[in-house]
Amino acid sequence: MSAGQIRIKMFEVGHGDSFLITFEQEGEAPRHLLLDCGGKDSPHGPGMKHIVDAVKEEVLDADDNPHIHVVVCSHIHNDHVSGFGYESKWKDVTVDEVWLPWTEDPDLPLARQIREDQKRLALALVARLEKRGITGWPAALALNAIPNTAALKTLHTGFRGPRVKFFGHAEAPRATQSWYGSDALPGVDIFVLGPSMNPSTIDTSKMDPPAGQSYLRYWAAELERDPSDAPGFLESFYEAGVRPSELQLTPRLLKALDGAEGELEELLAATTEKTLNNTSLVLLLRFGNRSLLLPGDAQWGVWEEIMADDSVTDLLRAVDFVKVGHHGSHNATPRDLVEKRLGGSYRAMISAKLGAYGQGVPKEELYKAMRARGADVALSDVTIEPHLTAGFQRVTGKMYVETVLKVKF
Amino acid sequence: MASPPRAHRRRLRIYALDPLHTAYGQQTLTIDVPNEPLAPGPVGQHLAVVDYDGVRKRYFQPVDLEDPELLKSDGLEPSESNPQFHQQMVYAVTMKAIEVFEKSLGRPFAGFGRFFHTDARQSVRRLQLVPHAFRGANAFYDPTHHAVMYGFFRVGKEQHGFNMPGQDIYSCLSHDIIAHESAHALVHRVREYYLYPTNHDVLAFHEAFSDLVALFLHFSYPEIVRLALRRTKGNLRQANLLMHLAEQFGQAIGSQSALRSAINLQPDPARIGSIFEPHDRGAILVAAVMHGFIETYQRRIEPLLLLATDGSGILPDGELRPQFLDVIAVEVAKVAEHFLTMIVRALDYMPPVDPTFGDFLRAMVTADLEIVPIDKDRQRLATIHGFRTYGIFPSEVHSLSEESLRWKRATEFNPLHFEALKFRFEKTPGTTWEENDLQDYLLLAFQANQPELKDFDWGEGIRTRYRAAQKQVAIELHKYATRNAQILGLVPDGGKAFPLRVAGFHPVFRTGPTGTLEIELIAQFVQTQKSEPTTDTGGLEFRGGATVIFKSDGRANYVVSKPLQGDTAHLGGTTNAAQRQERQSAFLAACDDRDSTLPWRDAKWVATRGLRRATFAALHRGGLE
Repeated sequence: MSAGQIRIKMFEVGHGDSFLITFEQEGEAPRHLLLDCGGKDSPHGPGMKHIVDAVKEEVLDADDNPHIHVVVCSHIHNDHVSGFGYESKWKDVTVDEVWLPWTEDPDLPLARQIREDQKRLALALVARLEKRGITGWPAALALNAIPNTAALKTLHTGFRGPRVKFFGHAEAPRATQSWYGSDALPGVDIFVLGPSMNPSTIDTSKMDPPAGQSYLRYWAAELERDPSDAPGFLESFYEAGVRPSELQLTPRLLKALDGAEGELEELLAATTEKTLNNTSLVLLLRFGNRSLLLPGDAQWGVWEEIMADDSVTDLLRAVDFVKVGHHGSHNATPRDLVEKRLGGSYRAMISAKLGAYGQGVPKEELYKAMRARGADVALSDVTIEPHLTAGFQRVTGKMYVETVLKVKF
Repeated sequence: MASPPRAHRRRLRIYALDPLHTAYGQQTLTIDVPNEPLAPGPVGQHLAVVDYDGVRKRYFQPVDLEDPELLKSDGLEPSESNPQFHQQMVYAVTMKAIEVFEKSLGRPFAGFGRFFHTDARQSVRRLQLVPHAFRGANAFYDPTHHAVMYGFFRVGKEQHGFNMPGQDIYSCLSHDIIAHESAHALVHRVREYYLYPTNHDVLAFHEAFSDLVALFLHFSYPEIVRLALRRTKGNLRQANLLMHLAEQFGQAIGSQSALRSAINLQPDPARIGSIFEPHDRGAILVAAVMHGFIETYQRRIEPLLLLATDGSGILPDGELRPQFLDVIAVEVAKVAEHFLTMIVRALDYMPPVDPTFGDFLRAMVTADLEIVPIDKDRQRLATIHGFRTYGIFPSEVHSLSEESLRWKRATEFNPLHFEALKFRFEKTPGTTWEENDLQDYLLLAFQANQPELKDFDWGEGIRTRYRAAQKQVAIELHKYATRNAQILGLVPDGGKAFPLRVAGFHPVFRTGPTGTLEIELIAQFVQTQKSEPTTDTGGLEFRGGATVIFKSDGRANYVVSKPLQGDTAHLGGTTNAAQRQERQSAFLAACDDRDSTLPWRDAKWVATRGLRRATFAALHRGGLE
């Protein structure tokens, strides 16, 4: 019976995700898995340059060359991939495998369609919000959804030597047993719980608009149109003078009518964010007697499906570490998951900056609830007290928070 | 020379089927509505059409329906390009919907004179109808401003789907959309707390009910049914016939209809347990009632079918004879009208807060039993069967027999006897007679609400006394509820922590089973549990209440209670306050899970999120989740 450990490093990227997971087994060289590399407003300097350098430092092999065995891109939101945009920095990094959700597969027509529609909607929303002078969270969300071409290029072709794999393919059966074992990570059982096999969880096309069209495409087209492009009437039908005020609509009502459009845009921004989040790779990795739950930013619809799957129940209960989804937002870690599905004594890490998108992320009630049930939760944002508890440490001179899990085989 | 008496009805032309569905051409229909004096708008007693172009921000000239030339020709010629016709159509169909409610509920609507939203600053007496309120593909009733906003838009080149690219679409020209939206406003008029989603049936009920009103109103015109029948080329199989008609309806009403998903909904009793989204949930309710509608219709035309096929019951291939189609159309229309009356009447027998689908079934059965004890067409049975088929079971009954589903009558409660409602009016100055108990009040109400009264001078005197009497009745009812709080399932002596209010009351005049006039008083009591500021209710306080139906001698006949404390065992029910409250919290949490905007909202929004989600605008946007 050999021993080992799993080291998990949460890099301080500000608001975003970048985790380095190292699998160590007695007598073997350590194996690295990089889970996402993106963020904004890092305390260690503008952009992600410093973080990328810091990551590379941690993955040097015996010959002092950077070698990452698996790079995982949970989903392509900018705050998860912006670090990959430094193409020159990654050129010398050897990567054995790159894992992406099936929606990134360049050879799958359905995936291509969804990608195009998502991009189109994001761009249309950004343009419309700019035109209407709307800033704030709807605009930030829309910008986050525009694909970062440099980062994507790195992921697909920019490392040295990788095999690129796409997971959760629409035709592949949902993983219930260990159906994937990778040469790059021997000894690790890989369970893929998401993205959903059900396109409508991603596309929400069961909703309107007409004739079962993709809502992404419908709303993209709608936003691209000129708002004044509406049916017109002959001038002679309009009133010439001003009517008495008791026959007019009240100013409050007029204001409400004007506000309706803003509400719609908010809804579209949030829905755009959600659909991209729901393409996230949801992974459960088991190494020896330890399990790690890495759900990307998957939100409610995906969790609903996962929790309805009986074959996954035992896996969830045995989880020892959770990378908390969507920077600790409310609906990426459903209440039922915390209250009923996970065991009690796991460790969790939340990589988020409070105030980056308002006060709802990370959600205080969420990490409080986790802690109340016995979990140890670390937050990357040092302004939130307590941000570290037992089992975590912030290493001076390094740009990460680390935790180590002892493993038995 | 004496002028002729005022005509009772006004005839107005409308589009029968959505003009955008060019498959049917531009079919028009002339409907008749109660005749009332109209100012340009048109503006009547209950409605005011305010035609504001929300895109160009200008007002259109209002139509004057009293213009002699328009009176001669049943109003304006239907036209997509003339906004004045749109004003006419919106007025006409909304009036029709109001009339249906008035007839079914057995009382005139005393105007939409009250604002229900607490932050209303202006008292607007009428329901405003805005035919061109905004650019968009939907329409919605706004309870805050007491207005129905209709959207209009131009179809994009790639989004056209069923229509032509660049086609202009006006939701105010769809009979079914107008009926649907009007139903929302009318339900809100009689059940203002149904806007607050305290469980997953509430908003679904609002949607489904409005769809059913629109569906049955649509099929209550034999001409429309006939039109639709003619379009179904080829064989007319009974079973598919109504499905086909409903399909056309579903396509016409467009995206906000639960009906669209109800059409092909296979009965699956397990579904109701797992479906959350209001439209999908509403679709199950619609499908259940429609199931009953189809079964009833099939039973009714069976003898006709046997006649037409010489006893074989098998229809020949090819198109059917026009005479047969005529007869079928009339039968469909009759059944639709019966169903429309039944579902609307059920509203009076629903609790004032926290409704469920099960409550609706029980209310329908009870209301119908009161009017028609013998279910000749087995309409009630068919409806019950429909609910069973789709898995909608009221939680507190032990069988689906009529007797079991009926709300328990007060005479059946054991061993409590309700105190009878009695009061003495103060003598109002200037009156010639003393009103001194409930029966006199009800008679006064009956007189005051005769439409002909407006034509007589002394009519105004009666109305004044009636209005004064109403104020006193409200006070008496409040005292009654306070004294009988425990029995009603409310908190006695609640004070400021549990404010109790009389949410509404009205006399009901209807024909009883033996043809006699029955007069009843229906009252709604609502009590609120004022929560601590730290409790997270999302702005939706926990409420309980009871609908009480009093006979004219003051005896309570039915009590439909949603208890604020304890349970309803003493009323023959099994509803439990603690369970309801738990369910309400669980529902708020479930909505939170699904609300993708929640992470980005500020604290103020979050504190009132339950209320903010309670809007028809959001519901009708297509439910982007």
